Amino acid sequence: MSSLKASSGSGYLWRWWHVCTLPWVVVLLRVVLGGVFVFAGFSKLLLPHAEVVAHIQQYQVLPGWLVSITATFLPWIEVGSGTALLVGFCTTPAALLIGVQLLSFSALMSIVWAAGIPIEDCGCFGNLGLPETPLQVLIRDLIMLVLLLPIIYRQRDALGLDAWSSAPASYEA
Amino acid sequence: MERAIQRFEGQVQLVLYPFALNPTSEVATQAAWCAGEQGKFWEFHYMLYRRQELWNRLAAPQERLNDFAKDLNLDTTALKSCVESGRMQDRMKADKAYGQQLQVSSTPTMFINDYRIVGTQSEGELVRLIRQELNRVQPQGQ
Amino acid sequence: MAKKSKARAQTLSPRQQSPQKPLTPRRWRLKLVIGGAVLAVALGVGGLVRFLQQRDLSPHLQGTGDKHYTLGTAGAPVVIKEFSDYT
Repeated sequence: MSSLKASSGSGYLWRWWHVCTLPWVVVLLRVVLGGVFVFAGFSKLLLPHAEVVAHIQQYQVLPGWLVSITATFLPWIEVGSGTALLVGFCTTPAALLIGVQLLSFSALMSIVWAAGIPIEDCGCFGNLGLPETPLQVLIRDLIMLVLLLPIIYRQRDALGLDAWSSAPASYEA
Repeated sequence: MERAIQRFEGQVQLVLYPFALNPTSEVATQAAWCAGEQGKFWEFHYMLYRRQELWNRLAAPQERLNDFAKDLNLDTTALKSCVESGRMQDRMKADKAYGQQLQVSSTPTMFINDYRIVGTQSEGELVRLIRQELNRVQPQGQ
Repeated sequence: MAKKSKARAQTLSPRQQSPQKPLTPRRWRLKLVIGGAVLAVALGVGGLVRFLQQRDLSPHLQGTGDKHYTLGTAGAPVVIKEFSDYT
């Protein structure tokens, strides 16, 4: 009985994995995740730099010098990696870069949540998004991390620049 | 802030723009300006911060602020009618619009000439920033 | 065996049999160009947004503190405009 349950559990997971790695699903995930990061980056670029600094400072985790560097470069990294993922260009490096960002944000939110630091709005989407608490951001980021896996696994088959450039060669005369 | 400014006497001017983020703050802002008509703006301004916990969670803080005004020997009847008349609304809206034009979305936001700072700063940090700006606009020896 | 190799020779077209340049390296270069261009456009738009925002700031900040309460010296070289909320 228990072996049946175990096999049905793993079968269930296998079915979900199979669905998630369908090419059109991978394209959808790429567009959604890439779009989220492009939006996040642009929403920060629309803010004055000092506002982004203030959003990061409120976490009280990063040292002062790192706050300024993060506020300067993070929006550009988000826009760049999000755009690359959106169009399927250098998909694996873009996905890995996004994965690193998601892991960093998740770690930061975990610390903030565990320490009980009061944050009303994470500032993840500047003034363009809904205010999110650290726990909400943590859950969202972990879900997005999981959704990166099919993209990395199946991106060669899915519509995008990488897939196009690695298509079977049709030979020129 | 005041101590930081005192250190640079003659070289720094602070201009205050109350930027009310909620209805309770709007009442307090108007009350402060009305107190200013009686010559006691700064006293009322500092008192609002000192006793912030006593009024800032009230939906209608007028009565509490009027009680505070008595401690400053203000004419509370005149203060109350000034706030209720809404005379200060236009001024408040104009300051809000000005702040929004400058993309102020959280408080405190300060502009040291063109340099924007968001969030509460320590006195040491303020002094450093003021000195930095003074050195920029008045290079040493000039 | 002989049949197999004959069959194989018959399936290959003359074009495929002749020496050729594979298209893949050209596509790879094209991919880099297109992908780089898309990235450049995205980052360029971001830069434009930042530039326009910063450009507008200075003129908006000009002007005296008329009708506002001030501390310090009028006409001072450093003017601090403070936007604060009492709550």
